[in-house]
Amino acid sequence: MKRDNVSIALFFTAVAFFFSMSILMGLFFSANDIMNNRKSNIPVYIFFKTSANLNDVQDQLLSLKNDRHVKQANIIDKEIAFHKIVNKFSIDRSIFDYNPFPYSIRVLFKSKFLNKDFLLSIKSKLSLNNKIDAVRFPENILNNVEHLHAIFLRFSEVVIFILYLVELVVFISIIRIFYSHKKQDFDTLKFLGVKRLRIFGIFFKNTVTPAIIGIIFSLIIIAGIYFAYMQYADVFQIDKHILLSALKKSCIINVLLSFVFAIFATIFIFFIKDEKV
Amino acid sequence: MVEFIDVFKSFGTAIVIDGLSFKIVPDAINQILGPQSSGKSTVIKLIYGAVKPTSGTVRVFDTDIASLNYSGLVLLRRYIGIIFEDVRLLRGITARENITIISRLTGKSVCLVDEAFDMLGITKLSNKYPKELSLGEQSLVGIARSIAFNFPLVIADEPFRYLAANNKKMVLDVFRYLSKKRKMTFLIATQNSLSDDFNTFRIDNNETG
Repeated sequence: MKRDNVSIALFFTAVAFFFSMSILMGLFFSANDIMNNRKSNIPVYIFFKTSANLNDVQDQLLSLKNDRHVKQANIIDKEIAFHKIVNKFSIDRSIFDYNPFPYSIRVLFKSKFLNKDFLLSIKSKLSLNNKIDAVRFPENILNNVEHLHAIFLRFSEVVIFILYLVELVVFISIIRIFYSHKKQDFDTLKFLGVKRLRIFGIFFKNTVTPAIIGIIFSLIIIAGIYFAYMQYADVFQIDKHILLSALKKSCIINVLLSFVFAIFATIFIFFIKDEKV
Repeated sequence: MVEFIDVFKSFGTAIVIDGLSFKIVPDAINQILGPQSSGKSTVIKLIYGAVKPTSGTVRVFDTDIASLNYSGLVLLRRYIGIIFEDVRLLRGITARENITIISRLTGKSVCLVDEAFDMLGITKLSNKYPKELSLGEQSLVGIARSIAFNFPLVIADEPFRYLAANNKKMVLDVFRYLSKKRKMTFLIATQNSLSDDFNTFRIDNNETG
């Protein structure tokens, strides 16, 4: 069977949308992951009272390490802390009769749990421990990162929603043109005794096949671009794992959505346009 | 095989067929004669159910078309060869595929495509696409499609419109042969009589004769 212009248009529509949406969403996912990483690098310091000994601190550390919200936790030894500060400010150590630094723990939480409310709840929970003097975290930095992240998420959601809406409308329009183009042939088949279900099968095959070929073609191109970028043009210095994982997620979502759009548009158009002649 | 009983058909206020009654002769060639816009095409469309009568009965193979649901109508069409006025070959597939696709989609086991092409002298056109064919050649492929399945009934709407005189004669000879040897029944809608031997019905001024 000869491929007609509408099938070619469908192929290129699938390629254009799949390609652009996968790349765009890949970048959005990467940016999101980078922001999450930034968030999860915001430390929370737990300062112990001077009366607390190393065993008390280690017990608390163990309990933190078993907590599913915690990404990383480590003790800041008071001797090391003292030594660092003395060295940093060139202070004569002999003027101190004793080490004034308490034991402390530096905790990093997993980004998906990390927000101000969560940290405040952790703070109040830890304050119940009578060995703990204070819990501190850089509140302003967290606020800024959270605000930026929220704006970015809203922006990316709006952009993606609009683009998917456009994609669906374009799919429906092209498939509508395709049906109009084939209507006479479909009616002829009905006059020659072919059931509507068979005709729907032909229509479905004619619309979904170019979309599938377009998706496969785009996947190959995206994989090629990814490897070429990583090999020769890593200009943005995005972590390889972040980029690969973002592209994988984005491609999977777009494969599924492109299928859903093509199938939905095909069924929708056949349902509203096909007649029992 | 085909019987019209007091059939009336109107499109809006325009009356196309007014009280038409006739019964075709089986295993023979029948022709409906009438001038342009006299309702010949509507008669053909009524037979294959593309148009429903406003009143009256259209019986095909002893079945009242109006009593059939859509699936029943589609199944009935599998026993009727149709030659369309506007040819209606499927675009994008070859002349031969235009016939074999019907066999594939309807599950018909008998498909004498080579024989039909041979009888009509168009074997050389079998691998050509409709857009590579002249209107006359497309008409011949359309005629081949209507006879390749040994349908008991073939209905034709102005089948010779695009044919040269020699091809028209050749097609008529094929129809005569099929009618005589294979007991196929033909009903041809045409403006001018094709032969005095054919059973003729006139719908000029809505009168049959």
